[in-house]
Amino acid sequence: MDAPTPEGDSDAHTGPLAGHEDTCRVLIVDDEPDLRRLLGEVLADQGWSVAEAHHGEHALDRLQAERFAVVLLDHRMPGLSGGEVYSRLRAAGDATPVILMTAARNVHELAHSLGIPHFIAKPFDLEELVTMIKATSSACT
Amino acid sequence: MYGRAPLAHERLDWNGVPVTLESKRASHAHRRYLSTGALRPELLREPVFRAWERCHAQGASARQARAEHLADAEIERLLTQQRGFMVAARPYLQALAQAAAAERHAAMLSDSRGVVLDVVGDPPSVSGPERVPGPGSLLSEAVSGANGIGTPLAEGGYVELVGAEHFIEGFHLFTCQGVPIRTPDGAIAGVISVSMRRTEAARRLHELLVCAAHGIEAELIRERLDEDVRRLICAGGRDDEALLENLRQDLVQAQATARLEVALAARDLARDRLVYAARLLALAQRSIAVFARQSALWRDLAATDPGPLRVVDLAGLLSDLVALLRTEAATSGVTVEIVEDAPLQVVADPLRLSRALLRAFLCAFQAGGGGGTARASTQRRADGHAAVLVHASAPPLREADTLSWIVPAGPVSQEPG
Repeated sequence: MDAPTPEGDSDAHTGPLAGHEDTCRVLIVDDEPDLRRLLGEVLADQGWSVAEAHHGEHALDRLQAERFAVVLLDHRMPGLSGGEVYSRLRAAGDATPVILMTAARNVHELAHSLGIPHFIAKPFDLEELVTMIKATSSACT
Repeated sequence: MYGRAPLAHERLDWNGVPVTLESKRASHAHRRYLSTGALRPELLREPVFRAWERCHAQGASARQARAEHLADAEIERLLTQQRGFMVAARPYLQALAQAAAAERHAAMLSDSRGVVLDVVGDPPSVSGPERVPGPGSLLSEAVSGANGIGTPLAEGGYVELVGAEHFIEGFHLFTCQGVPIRTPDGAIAGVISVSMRRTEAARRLHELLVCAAHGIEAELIRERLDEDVRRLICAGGRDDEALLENLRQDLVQAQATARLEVALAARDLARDRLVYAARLLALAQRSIAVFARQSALWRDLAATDPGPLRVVDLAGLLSDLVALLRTEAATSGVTVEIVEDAPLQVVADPLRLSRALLRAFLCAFQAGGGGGTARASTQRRADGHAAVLVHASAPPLREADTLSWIVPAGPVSQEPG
């Protein structure tokens, strides 16, 4: 099994589409390292190139410097929440598709209030998540 | 094409299924039972013999070819009633099916009476002429004899039945394993089982099956937490609703992690990466255990009435609470430390004690916010009582920035740990 991904800049998982980095990269933003690592493994297995950010500020830095096909964004994180990251991203004119991941009680209400059209409840069904990523990042499918 | 070529030392039966020692002896026992009606304990493993005794006493027919079914209307009503349970179990049935890969297999879920609710497997096993019993089939031992669902229900634990160890002939093609699934209250909600043609292949799924049962139990706990939060919010009048909802979200992370670990373990089993799969399953079991413990703590924090006094492991409680407050502490910018001390057990109401500790930690987070530290230590006092000291310090360290909260924890228990 892979060793736990260290905090900080990391591109721990690279799938067979690694050559198409501009269009086929997924950024996983979550403060929970195990979840990032496991999700990264799953997505790399499905052919995506995966990058990670362990908090909101880190995600914004990466999004400013690199292009991603889709961002998987946890909502409840120390520092900037997922909702705040999304607002700042859109305010900066970045239209990268975002999928909000949350264990909040009322996922629909939360996503609606944040103006985020794509969302998934934790714990998620992997098939559902992969289908959603494919639908959101149509350039990679 | 299913399965693989037999190994040189394997004997195959008329179905092309390798014959194991268990199934060979059980075949002999079955033939003797059919001809004389006598049970032969020396030919059967202990749990199998117990099961056959129960089947015999309940009048199950060993000559039966297949399981009985509920009426269609009754099946429909049952599936509607059990929808939540089926949704909770689906990802784990799929994980078992994925792990079985090209082997003939069926992963099944039953209710607490042994009625099949859901089946996931390869097409011949689910809908072919030699299919496993489908939704609505009655698999209690009284109706269908010893089997991978009825026997775990009767035994209250994991059971494996190989070939002729099944009481009725119709199930002799399969090796079946089942594990009961318990509700958060400890009652049996149903059984998850896996049936395969090859015993050796079935045994590779043993750890995944056990982990799947625990995973479904965690799903049921999460549903209970959702109901608790809903009730809490509807009742109103609490100033910690938002905090409790945040903590509930944090502890669901452990469950989300466990579900991913199970899914990846299934993938690795299918790819013959057995060592990786075993490690992932061990991690999943740990994540599920953490989730279950923290959920119990969360329910104590959310409870409104006082509970009974009991012996509480103070260090364990502190450690679980700190783990549950991890994101809350990080959000406040506070590092939490527990000063390790000798194990200390106290007689206390865990509900009151955990809530008092929570308040102390929240005060410490506020005082130590933005780079400070909250340090907790247990104290054994001269009067035989214990206390927890929560000490907050904020940078730059000044006398005024250092605050402490003492939480009385009750008399030290004399019971051995």
